[in-house]
Amino acid sequence: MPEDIQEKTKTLLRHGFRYALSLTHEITQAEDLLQDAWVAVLRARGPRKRAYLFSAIRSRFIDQQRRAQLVVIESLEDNTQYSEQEIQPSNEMIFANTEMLDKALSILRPVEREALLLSEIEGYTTQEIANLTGQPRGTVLSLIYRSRQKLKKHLLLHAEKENHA
Amino acid sequence: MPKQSLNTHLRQYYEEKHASPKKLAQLVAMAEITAPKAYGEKNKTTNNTPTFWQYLRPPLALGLALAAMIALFFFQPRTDITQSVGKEIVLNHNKRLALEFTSQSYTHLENQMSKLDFTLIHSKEVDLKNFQLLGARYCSIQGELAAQLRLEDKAGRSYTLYQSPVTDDLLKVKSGERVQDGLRLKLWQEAGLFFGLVGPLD
Repeated sequence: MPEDIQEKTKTLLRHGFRYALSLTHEITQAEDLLQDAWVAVLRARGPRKRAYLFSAIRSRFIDQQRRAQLVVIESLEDNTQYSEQEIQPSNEMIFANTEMLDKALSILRPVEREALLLSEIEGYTTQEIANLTGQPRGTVLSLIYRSRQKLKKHLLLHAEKENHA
Repeated sequence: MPKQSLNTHLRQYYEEKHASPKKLAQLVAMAEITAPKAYGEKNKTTNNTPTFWQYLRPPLALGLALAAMIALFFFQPRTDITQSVGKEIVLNHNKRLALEFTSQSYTHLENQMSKLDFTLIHSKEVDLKNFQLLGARYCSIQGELAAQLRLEDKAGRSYTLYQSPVTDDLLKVKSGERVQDGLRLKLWQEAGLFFGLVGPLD
């Protein structure tokens, strides 16, 4: 395999791993999930594209959760509609370390971590996330907003506790 | 980590996380075995429903194989056993190999040719009044040990008379007289033996 293609493959797999990690929040499980999806992509001789790999990862994650009889796709608790502006990342400075973030992210549901990763790290638009996850765009907006709020709240609370200590 | 935006925290958090280099290398190696599908190539794994042609393929292949077998059976070049034996006899006659046993007596030749597992006989088809026996030698017809008797007519023309047990192959030989390679050839069966007489045309 030429070096440039090998490097592209590695980059794709790194993205895939992060996405799998956002769903599982556990490194070994993320590796296994990525491998399952990667094998499926290769067998299908499908395009080696991020969206295709993510889709394969997602469907395998849902299958795994179904087999484990866990509910993954949960409906939102409220139907509050948020706008694109409302979900834009704020510039508010927050103190956090890896451990705090790890704990905070573990509180979020897989779909919330997924939405955050796709929008904040992978740079997906709301519509792209909606397409990938098969959810209405409004639901995706709510999901991003709420998960960010939840995360921020947890980190601020934790930082406050650390300051008092 | 210093105080920074949530977005930056998240980015740093996920960028620090990697699959193990071993796992990554393993996955990259897997990709080297298979190539992505070419543009326009049909997705074989996502569409498992056999198409019309896929349904037809096995019976079609079977039908074609049968047709090929039938064609082979009917159109293969048939080797005519009568023709083949006739050619063999004429060829041997033309070789004019030296006689192994010289005698004018059938009985005498019979005693000398001990390897034969059949008894030489006088055929009704060969009028002894017209021919003189010169001698004999061993030969084979279609791989079967036979006797080749050299005869001469009153004009001094040479004839060869073949005698052999009737094998499965020789049983299929059509009796009769014909001209082959410029010679007169007569084939027949008599008393459980196969006979072939070859000599010049009149």
